[in-house]
Amino acid sequence: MFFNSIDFAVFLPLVFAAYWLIPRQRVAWQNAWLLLASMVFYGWWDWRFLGLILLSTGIDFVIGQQLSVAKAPGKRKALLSLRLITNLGILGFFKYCNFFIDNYVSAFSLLGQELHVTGLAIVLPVGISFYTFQTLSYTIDVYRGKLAPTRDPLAFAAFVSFFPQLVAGPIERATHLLPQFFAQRKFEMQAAIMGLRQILWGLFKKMVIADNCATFVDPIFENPGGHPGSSLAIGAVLFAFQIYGDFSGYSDIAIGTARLFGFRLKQNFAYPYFSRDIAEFWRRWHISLSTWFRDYLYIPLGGSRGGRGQQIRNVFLIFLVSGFWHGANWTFLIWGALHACFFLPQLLLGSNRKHLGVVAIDRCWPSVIEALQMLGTFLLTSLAWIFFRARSLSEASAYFQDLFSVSLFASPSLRGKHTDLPFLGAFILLMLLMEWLGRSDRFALEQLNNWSQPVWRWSFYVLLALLIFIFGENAQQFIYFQF
Amino acid sequence: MRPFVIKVFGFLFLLAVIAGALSLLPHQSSPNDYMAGIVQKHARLDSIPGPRLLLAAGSNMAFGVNSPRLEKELDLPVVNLALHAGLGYQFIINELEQSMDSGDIALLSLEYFLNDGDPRLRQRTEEHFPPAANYHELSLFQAGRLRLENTRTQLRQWLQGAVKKSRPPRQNPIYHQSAFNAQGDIVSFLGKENPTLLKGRETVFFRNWEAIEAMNRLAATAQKKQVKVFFLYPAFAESEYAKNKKVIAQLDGVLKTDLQLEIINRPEDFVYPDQLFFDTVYHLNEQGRERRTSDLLRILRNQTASRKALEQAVAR
Repeated sequence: MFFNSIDFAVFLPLVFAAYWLIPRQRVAWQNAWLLLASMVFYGWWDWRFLGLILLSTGIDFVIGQQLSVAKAPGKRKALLSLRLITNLGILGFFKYCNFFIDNYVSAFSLLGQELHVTGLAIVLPVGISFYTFQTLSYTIDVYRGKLAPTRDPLAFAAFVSFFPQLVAGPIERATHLLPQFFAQRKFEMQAAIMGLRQILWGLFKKMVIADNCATFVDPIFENPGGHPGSSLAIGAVLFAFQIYGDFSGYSDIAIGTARLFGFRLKQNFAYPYFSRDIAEFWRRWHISLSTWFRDYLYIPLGGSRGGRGQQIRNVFLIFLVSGFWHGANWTFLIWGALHACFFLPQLLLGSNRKHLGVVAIDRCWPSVIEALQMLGTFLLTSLAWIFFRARSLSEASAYFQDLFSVSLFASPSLRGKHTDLPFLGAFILLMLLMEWLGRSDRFALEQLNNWSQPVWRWSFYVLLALLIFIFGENAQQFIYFQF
Repeated sequence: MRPFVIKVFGFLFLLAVIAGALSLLPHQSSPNDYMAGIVQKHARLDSIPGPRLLLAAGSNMAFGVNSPRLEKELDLPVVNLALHAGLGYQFIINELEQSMDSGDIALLSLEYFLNDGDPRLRQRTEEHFPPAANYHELSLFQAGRLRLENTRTQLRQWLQGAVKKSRPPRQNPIYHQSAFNAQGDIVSFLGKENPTLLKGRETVFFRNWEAIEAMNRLAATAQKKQVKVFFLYPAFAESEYAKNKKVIAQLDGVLKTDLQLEIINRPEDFVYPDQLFFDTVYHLNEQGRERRTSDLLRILRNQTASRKALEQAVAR
């Protein structure tokens, strides 16, 4: 079930109404209802994968229990290893099996030997990378003693499969989200209104920005050779906005939906295109994944401590793993490696923590230097996105070849499906303006109450709803669902 | 909770009122719309007394046949009703059922597992040609949804048109109202280079095809009206055929036992190399079109049933 579908528009009010009809003292009933709703939500794609998620939940729960009684370090380590192997094994089988088979065959063909091995017909379960990482964090935190294992299987299952963030995050830590399943949830009108506002903003970013950008971007990436370099440049920039609108839009809808049920999810995007350098970009982009890798991989590896060699190794490792997490394709690895290359000079020069605060926090507009820094960072990330979007390395290299050719200065030829480029440009500007105004907040419209009279606020809501109605493209899948 | 519900419903009511008001704006059909091609096809149909050779299909037949050549070689007037597979099998079959007259010969060539299509396309076609309302049914839900969809499209066009008033509206170089010749074939693509990408590639999955029941109803009507209707497999790109061969063979088996229309070709008869296709795996290019027309003529002349029907029709 997509957030931007009629199905979800019917599903959400029904689940919401029944949820709040349950007396708030009956937390277990509320959890049971959320679990049932989450199963329906997930099973809407393919009910066969419900078994997989339940299996994963069951193993994590049991291992959590075992960890709580195991005292011997060897046994605890064995339990953790068992969990890592099963969790990553399932993920590896569904996501990476064909990648390794293909590369194995290609490696032999390079040596002149033709292997006739065909890939397996595997369907990737939606959201598997997200919920695998979420459950991994639970087991690791229990192992580290940061979290007491839960004894309530219902609450635990509801936590793992919580539908707002099940298929594309934010990847929640058990230490943050799980306790919320034990607490009494009281309906709070302001929180619910805030949730709806965030959902509306997320839908605008997804349906008006991302899906319209996609109608320009898709034909360009399908046939880069058929477009002048200028179109390819615009295509790369539009893809940067597409993926941002798509994923941060999804996160806004997820966080807003969770709020309707009395849950607070972590912020997943903090206006990454207002970053002044790559290090800042990574503190602001897909925060739940970046911090996951930081806490469970980078820091255990030694982080930025140790010698230069170790630092460089750790940075490359973290970015390559992050790239590979996105998909079983060399393009994602190159994307990760590129970001490592962008980031490394900052780390080595000690400037990676230079921009920790919000840009131009005490001013209306950025200085010229800041604007140039933001533009530079945006252009670097846009170039790297080309690898992320291309289906293969050869496609990406063809894109770059045509991009940096004489035709970069030719008149661009771009055509969207329904919306003209100037209109799309105006919508992107509206998004950037609102996000700039709200850049200190958890989402762009969080402080709308403080800025405006109700009449202006409602007019703005109506404007957003009308833009979604008129210019929103029909339910396109979210890009991150494939990961 | 109550104030929240009131606020939400208030907002939704406000939106509904605005959307309702906007939907009252007069609707304008897009100029030179491809779907308006139906008007010309039916004008020809009405102007020619029978017997006629009627071609009913999705766009595979609109692209893939040279009707003037058929007309000349068979000595029988041809009306190519084929327009768009998106109209759905029901629309195509109903249109043929209501258009054919005693003595006519009809060739029905549905794309593989053609479904019920897109109601928006059907409604667009109906706007240009009101009798098309008899070829399809819309549920109340579909009608409401289409109304909203039309309002949406109208507003988008109106807003964007207001900004770029001076520029002429875009016209698709292939798919437009004047894309057809007198018989109803698309000719706008003749002499044009194939686009680089062949669209419509997909894996065909076997399922119960509801169209068989509709075609059997057509067969009964045809018998009553004394019209000979033959089923014809569509033109299909070689690579796609190879990919879906098993399923197509399975379908062929089912059609041979269940279909009450006579099937006059084999699926592989109209399978051609990919380079003979224009923009989709069903749309032949100029060269492919000529090859298929020759093959069709050969099939029509060699098959006993069609040969007889043709002889009878010509004798009239």
